[in-house]
Amino acid sequence: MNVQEALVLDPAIRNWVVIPIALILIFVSALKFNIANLMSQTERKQSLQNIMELQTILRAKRLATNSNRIPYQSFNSRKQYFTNRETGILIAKEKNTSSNPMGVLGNAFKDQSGVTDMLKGNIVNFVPQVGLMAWVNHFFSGFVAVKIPFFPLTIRFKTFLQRGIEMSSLDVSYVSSLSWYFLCWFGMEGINSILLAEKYQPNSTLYASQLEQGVPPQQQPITQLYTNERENIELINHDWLMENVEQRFLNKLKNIEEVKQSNKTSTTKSSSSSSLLKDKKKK
Amino acid sequence: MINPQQHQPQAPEAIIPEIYDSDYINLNLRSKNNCRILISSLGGCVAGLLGLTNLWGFVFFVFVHFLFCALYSISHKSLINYFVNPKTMWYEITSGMMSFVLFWTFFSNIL
Repeated sequence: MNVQEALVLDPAIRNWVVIPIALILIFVSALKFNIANLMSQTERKQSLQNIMELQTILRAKRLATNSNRIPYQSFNSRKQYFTNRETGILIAKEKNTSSNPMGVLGNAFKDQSGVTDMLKGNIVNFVPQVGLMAWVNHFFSGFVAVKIPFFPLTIRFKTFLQRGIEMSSLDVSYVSSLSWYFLCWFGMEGINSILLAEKYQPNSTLYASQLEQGVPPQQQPITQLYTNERENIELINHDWLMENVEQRFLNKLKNIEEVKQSNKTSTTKSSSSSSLLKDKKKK
Repeated sequence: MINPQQHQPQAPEAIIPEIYDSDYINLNLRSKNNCRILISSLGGCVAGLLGLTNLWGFVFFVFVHFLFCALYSISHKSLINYFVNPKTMWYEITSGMMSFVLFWTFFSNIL
């Protein structure tokens, strides 16, 4: 055990293995980030029609959830706006798109673009990792690269952490370069998010993020979503929360004041009675 | 008559309720996380330079974590205005862990 603790790593290993692996991981992640950016720039262009439809659905949903917070009149006018037989926008859209035979096909195309987008993202993430792992394993295997300072893991990890070093007596805290690579990979994520993240501007991204949140599953045609929303709104049993709220508030205030006054009067009575008692005693 | 508080949907903690602007909440969370990662990697550097080993390093990490939380809540007076639930900060101990371990290992090997 003493011999193992005295094990000294060559400074050349430090200069030519440990530092280069860390640096190269930073560079590769920067490259990956930029490539992903370039790829995603061509995507994400939704037509005006699509955006309008999504926003309409969002608005209808908001009305459905918050319907009890607006007076009856305003709720009714909104309901008319959405679900009127002739002019309601949810119904008008239905008629328009049902006459359009390309609607379903268009949706299918959108679906494909989403899938390819995901695939691209996966490839950009996955290929460099595997490549780097192969590179590290090929060039830097067969020797101890790093001594980890935290408590040695159990013997079971030995085959994984000390790949390429066939020494049964070696302490588990001495690990090969592949483990150092993994450590760098996981540890660099935080650093990357600081170094590489683009300037985040809430006002410009507000629109996009809202759309992403509200994007319905594209398999459903938009008309079906519209009918769903329309039925939702038609079924709402409106009950305004703020009905004669002033009167309720005043009543509450009155009650509180009454309670206070009754408390005060009781205390004053008791104090007066006690003072009376004192007076009697004096006499 | 319905009590307005009865009708409020009970949103789970992970989802940001609608009354908050989720973009600004995310922005705040990100700035906090950046602070935390910087502090914990600095802590890792210090731990590596001091030559801490085994359990002492993790004790130091916990110390750094609480130091960060305390400093953050002292320097920003009204955290409740900027986060949905600012107290969760104290429990998220693992978020800066990996960068701490990385810098700790790096510096203890470099010397």
